[in-house]
Amino acid sequence: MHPDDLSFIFLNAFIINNFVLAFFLGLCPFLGVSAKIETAWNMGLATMFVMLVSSLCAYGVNILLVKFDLEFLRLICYIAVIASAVQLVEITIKKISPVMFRALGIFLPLITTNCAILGLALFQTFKEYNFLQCLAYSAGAGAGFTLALMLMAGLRVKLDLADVPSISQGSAISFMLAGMLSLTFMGFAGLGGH
Amino acid sequence: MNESSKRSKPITLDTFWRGVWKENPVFVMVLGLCPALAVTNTTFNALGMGLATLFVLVCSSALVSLLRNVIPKQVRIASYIVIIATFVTIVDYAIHAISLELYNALGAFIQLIVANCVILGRAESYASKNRITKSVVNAAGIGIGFTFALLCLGTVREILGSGTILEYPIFGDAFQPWVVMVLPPGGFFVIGAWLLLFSWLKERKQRRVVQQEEAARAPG
Amino acid sequence: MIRTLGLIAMISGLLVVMVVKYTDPIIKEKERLALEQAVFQVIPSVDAKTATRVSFALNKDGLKRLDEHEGAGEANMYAVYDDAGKLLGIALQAAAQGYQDVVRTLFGYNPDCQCIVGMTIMKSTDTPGMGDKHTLENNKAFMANFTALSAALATDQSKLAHPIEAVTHGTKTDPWQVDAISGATISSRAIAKGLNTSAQKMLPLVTHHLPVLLHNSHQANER
Repeated sequence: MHPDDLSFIFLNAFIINNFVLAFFLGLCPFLGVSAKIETAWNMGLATMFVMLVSSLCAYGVNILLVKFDLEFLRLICYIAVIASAVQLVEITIKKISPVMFRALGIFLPLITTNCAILGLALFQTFKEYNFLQCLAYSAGAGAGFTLALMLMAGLRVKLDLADVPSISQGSAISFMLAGMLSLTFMGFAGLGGH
Repeated sequence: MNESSKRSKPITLDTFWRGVWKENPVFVMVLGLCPALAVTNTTFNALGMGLATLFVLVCSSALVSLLRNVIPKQVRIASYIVIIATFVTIVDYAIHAISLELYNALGAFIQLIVANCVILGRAESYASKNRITKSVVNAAGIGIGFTFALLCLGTVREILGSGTILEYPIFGDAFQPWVVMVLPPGGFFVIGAWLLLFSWLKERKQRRVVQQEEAARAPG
Repeated sequence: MIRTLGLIAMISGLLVVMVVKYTDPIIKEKERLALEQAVFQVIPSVDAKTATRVSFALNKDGLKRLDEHEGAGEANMYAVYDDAGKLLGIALQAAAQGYQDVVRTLFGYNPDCQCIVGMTIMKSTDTPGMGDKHTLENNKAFMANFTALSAALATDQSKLAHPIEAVTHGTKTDPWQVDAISGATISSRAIAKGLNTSAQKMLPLVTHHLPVLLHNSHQANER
């Protein structure tokens, strides 16, 4: 597969270079909201949605910045764009579907400070992706984030029943679990090397 | 310790020391890991990232504290983020000019300092309520605590993963490096191990206190 | 409220612009030196003190000589001349998917022998100790692949006569094959694949414009 193929870009962000397990992006929600499978699913969906929206916004903003030779303002603009995109998504969901808003609403403010969103915008700029590639990349990143969150939630539900030493309760054991998940995902490396 | 004797004064050693040890952002509060774990695969990168974060933390705290009476409440978070993003951009360009090697190793993660919740947390909960000197001292403490934590991670990962410290080999040729330690899983394992160590120390300290109390009670 | 926000925006804008203005020339100079070092590295028999590097943008529309300071971003080909103005070699970029992420390389092409005479890895995040820059470039047997790798064009000059390909360790028989490292086959294959893609696309164009490139050497000499 060629590195510029849409399917490959999706797969790359989805499992090979998973945002959480390979780049450590979005660790705060990964550890904070992964106690229950259902919340993890909703958080994942909300993040994926915001990722798609903010990635496209960032793509547009970057074109403008490059056109006017203002690349040094990129970071400030991205941050502002992402914050407003999250607000916009929140208002839109509230108007269109109150049911969905009840499920996702509380997660949206959390997402504003999620480094995975900013990381996505920065990485797609570094890799110089075009419009469709950005779309595939953000879809892959969002799906990958959801997958990692769901797997972690599944593990932690089991962990509740396990008898672990008292000192390893809390975040220490979560990090060890995340390490093992990350180790497993290393098996996907090399998928595109043929 | 003189931290308790000086507590009456507005700025105490505790203002600084609290951030380094008692409220260490990484090991105690488990915050700000996102942009930090990825680049702690060598001591050098960890030091670079820590110092960059320290600079942003101190500068943004100073500016937020200076402007704390001017910034309206409704737009305070937006203002803080713009201020932080400014200093991160500055650090980004500075590192690029100082060391191309470090810049290439850290990549987009320098810019991701913006999303470090420790910095926004300090601006919101401390700098916006305190005078500039006090905020700067506190921010410096937190920043040094953060750098210290990153160094703890980076050194262990480099020693085990490459058998070197600051690229200086410390084991003989016979040493087979644990490559996994410089890969992403190693980051998770090492932070998990440090957290285990700290909670073990904490539990041992508590047990000692209980034992001492019991010992003190027994004769009386 | 608006005034405060304006004030903050002004302060931050001022700070950023000041720093950018100050650091920009330093960054450009450092990037230029790093690139020059890489370019000279892939062309053997180069004397770094006297050689000149000229950047070009080469595509289907033609060849464009770029000014060192203005057009550095769009450059995709670098020609190196010695102090007498003789063309020593051409450096081109290549990239292909490796084990973990894209592996980027820079390779030197010598039009006299129609072969690749040097290669350096610009970026590889493949497994440390197996497929990273340091390990690959310290593997003398592997790097020997790129001292005279055949990249001759087919008779119609539209593509390579034989595509560059990686073969299993120890089975190299032809001059256009790359002997892969056992244990880092995917990284080796990515490098060969990147070279092939880039050579297939660029070398016909380079050959087409070769008289101009040789001619440019005089300008380089006059400067």
